[in-house]
Amino acid sequence: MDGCVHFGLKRTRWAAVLALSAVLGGFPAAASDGEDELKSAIVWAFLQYSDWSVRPAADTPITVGVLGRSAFRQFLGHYLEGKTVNNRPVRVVEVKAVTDLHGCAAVYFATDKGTEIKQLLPAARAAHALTVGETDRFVEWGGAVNLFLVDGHMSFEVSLGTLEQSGIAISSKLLRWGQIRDLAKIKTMARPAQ
Amino acid sequence: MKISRSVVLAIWAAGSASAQRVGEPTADLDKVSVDELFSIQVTSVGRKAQQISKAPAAVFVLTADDIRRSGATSIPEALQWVPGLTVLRLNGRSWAVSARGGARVYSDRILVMIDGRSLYSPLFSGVIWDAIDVPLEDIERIEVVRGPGAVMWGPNAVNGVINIITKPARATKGAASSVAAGNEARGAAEARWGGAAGDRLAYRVWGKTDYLTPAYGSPGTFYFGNFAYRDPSVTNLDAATGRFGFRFDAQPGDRDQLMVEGDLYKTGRQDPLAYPAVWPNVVRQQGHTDYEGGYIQARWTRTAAAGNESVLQFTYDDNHIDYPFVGGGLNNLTIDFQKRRQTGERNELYWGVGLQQYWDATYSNRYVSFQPADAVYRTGDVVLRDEWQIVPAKLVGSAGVRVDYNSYHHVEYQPSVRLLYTPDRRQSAWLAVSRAVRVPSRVDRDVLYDNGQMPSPAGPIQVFVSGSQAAPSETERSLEAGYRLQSGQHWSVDLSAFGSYYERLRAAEGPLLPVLAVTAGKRSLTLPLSVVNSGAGRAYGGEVWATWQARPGWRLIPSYSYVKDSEWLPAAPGRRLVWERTPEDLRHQGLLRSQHDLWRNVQLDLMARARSRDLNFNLPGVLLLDARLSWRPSRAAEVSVSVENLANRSVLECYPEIATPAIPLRRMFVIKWTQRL
Repeated sequence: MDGCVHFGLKRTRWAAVLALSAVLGGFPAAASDGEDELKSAIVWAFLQYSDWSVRPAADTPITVGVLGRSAFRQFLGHYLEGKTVNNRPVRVVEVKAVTDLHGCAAVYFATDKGTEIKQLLPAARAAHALTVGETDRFVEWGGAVNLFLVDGHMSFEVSLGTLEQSGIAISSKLLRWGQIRDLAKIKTMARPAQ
Repeated sequence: MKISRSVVLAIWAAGSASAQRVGEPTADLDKVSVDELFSIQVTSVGRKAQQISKAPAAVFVLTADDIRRSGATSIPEALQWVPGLTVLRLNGRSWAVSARGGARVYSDRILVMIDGRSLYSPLFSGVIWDAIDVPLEDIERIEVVRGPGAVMWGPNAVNGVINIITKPARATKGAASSVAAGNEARGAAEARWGGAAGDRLAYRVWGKTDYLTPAYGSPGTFYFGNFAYRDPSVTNLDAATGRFGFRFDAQPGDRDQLMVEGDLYKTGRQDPLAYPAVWPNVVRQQGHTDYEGGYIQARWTRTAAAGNESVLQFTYDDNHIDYPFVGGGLNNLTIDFQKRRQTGERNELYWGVGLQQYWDATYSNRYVSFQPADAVYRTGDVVLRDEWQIVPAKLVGSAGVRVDYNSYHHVEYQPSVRLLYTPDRRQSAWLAVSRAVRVPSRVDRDVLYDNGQMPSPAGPIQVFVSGSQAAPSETERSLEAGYRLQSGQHWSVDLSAFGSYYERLRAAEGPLLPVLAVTAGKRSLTLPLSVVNSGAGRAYGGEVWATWQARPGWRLIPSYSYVKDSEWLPAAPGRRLVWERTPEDLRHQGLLRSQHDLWRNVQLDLMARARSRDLNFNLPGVLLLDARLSWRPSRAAEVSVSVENLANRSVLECYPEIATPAIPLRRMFVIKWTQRL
């Protein structure tokens, strides 16, 4: 919904990057390990600060499915290796079809292919998985959290409605860093201190 | 989503404790808190580059004589006579001062400094004009640069820079005092004592006090976004200030100069307030505002040789503000080092590094609060600029960049490229391309603001605004050009034109429909808005001013400026995206000053200013006339009478932004006696 704004920002940054790369005599690399690392850390933060109303058995691992870029899946797998949430280990699996979503607590859509995303999102929601994407219209298509770059920093937008449907609550400690796309969901708002 | 990590700001990394977060995120992200996660710089497009020049820029200098002859009793009053500046009086204490559009009471795109010390507040992005003062007699000049000045002066110099420069202590020896009285400035007194201990040390100490009763009994207008409330008579807007300060100038060695200055002040003012309750009613209160604080500043200059100069500057200020809504203690500490060096016959290199730490502890009185209440803000900056005589004495080019890194984990780069062409001694032309930013303030990030109840067809809606930790800087890209022609001693003309493009302008976002909120057990319609920088804008225009020595002892200074300022928000289907603040929109402004020495000891100044209708607020265009007559009975004394708004036109110059009233201008006079001993 805010696409034109982000587009404008990206275009500016691209213009600057291209100008600079022309100066340096080379073209910038398309994506970076640094960015993937940061996205992995953010996924980890979401796992820590989210609460699933539908809880799997206590001793099962927390599964994060990744659709799309295998490089990111490997990176995320490496990053989350050995980490636990509430004494439950975290594992990363590849998602290719709806059937792979079973048991996933979170699904990362490391792709910008709309057809693939739209195909899997309803099933992911139904499976009470936290859906995280990185493409402009992700929230509009029914995703819960979309990561994007603004001013050189990672930021995210979130749909509280989608989260509610999936039975997931995210702590305000994390939500305050993002932009809520459906503010109408906020039923009450505290009055500032008098 | 694809990004590039291109250049790491190695030049910056040397000077900052938290510099490891700049550039690529390295290893230990596990140890990074959530708060920091969204602040890590993923890409940085700043680069160790060249630097900018002196000032092939739109500059106007207000001299000490200009200030004295304007009859001004405060700095904003003196600034009314700067071509291209917009200076609007809100209520006799608060002012809207801006250049090239965006005029608001808390104009956030203009940087104001006294002797190189920034007065721009990281709390709310702006300048508290009624807490700023120096004895007008001690001002040497005020340099006003229209357009971006970021490379030279730092962030927030987006649309202009106002640099107030005070006289060195050796220029103010002896005792001087002045007293003034008028219908608005009821009483004002200044006293100064200056002395010297040998050739190498000079000092002055000064004190001043004033008492204002702006527009007693005038109607006041409160403005609440979509309705105005008019109070038939505002009876208490009194403001009183006391201030004293000092300046030392020493010359410890032949090559060194040391300057130390400081002041202490206290201001109190009455604030009639109105807060929108159940529409169309308002809650009326009589509030009170206090400012108190002081600063100390030291500057050491070493001139190793001609064209080789180093300056080290330290400033510290401590201010306590207590508004009817919010208050707090604000502290600001800066250290700057600058070096200018002639590196060849045709080349001059300038570089600098600086550090700033700002910290505050705020509290809420009503309606407004900051969360967190306390904050620390740090920045570090590096400036590099090179000036090159491309064609000796004809064409000078300069390029520069300033890179700032602040504790919001934003890297800001502000480049500028300038060219100055001087075909002969009479003419010069310049061209500049710049980028400047306004960095987010505590208000952008942390504020919680209860805007009160706005009328709507469905009934009153309670509006809340909250800041956003994700708020980025507003950016400006600007193209400027200018031409100057000096014809002997008789006349000169200065023309400039500009076009600026703004992005990421602050707006507010919320749900399309108000939500039903339960506050303290009561249900009401609520509109929660949060800061989002989705706005964009464009401004273009130009300024022209001239001086004409009509005959010996009579000088005329006409000027005209035009600004076409437009701002827009993207389409936001399903959401409410609104401007949170609306600037005044004045397209045309004109000034004419006549400085006439009638006799050897009698001076007459006539001044006229005109401006077109304010298109955003529908305030009518006006023509205002001022006059000042002064008489020097002896070399050491001057008596003057100044009258502002001779025709006594009742004019509302701008609208307020917070719940204090705008008071229409009326005829004001001040009688002043200055005596030197």
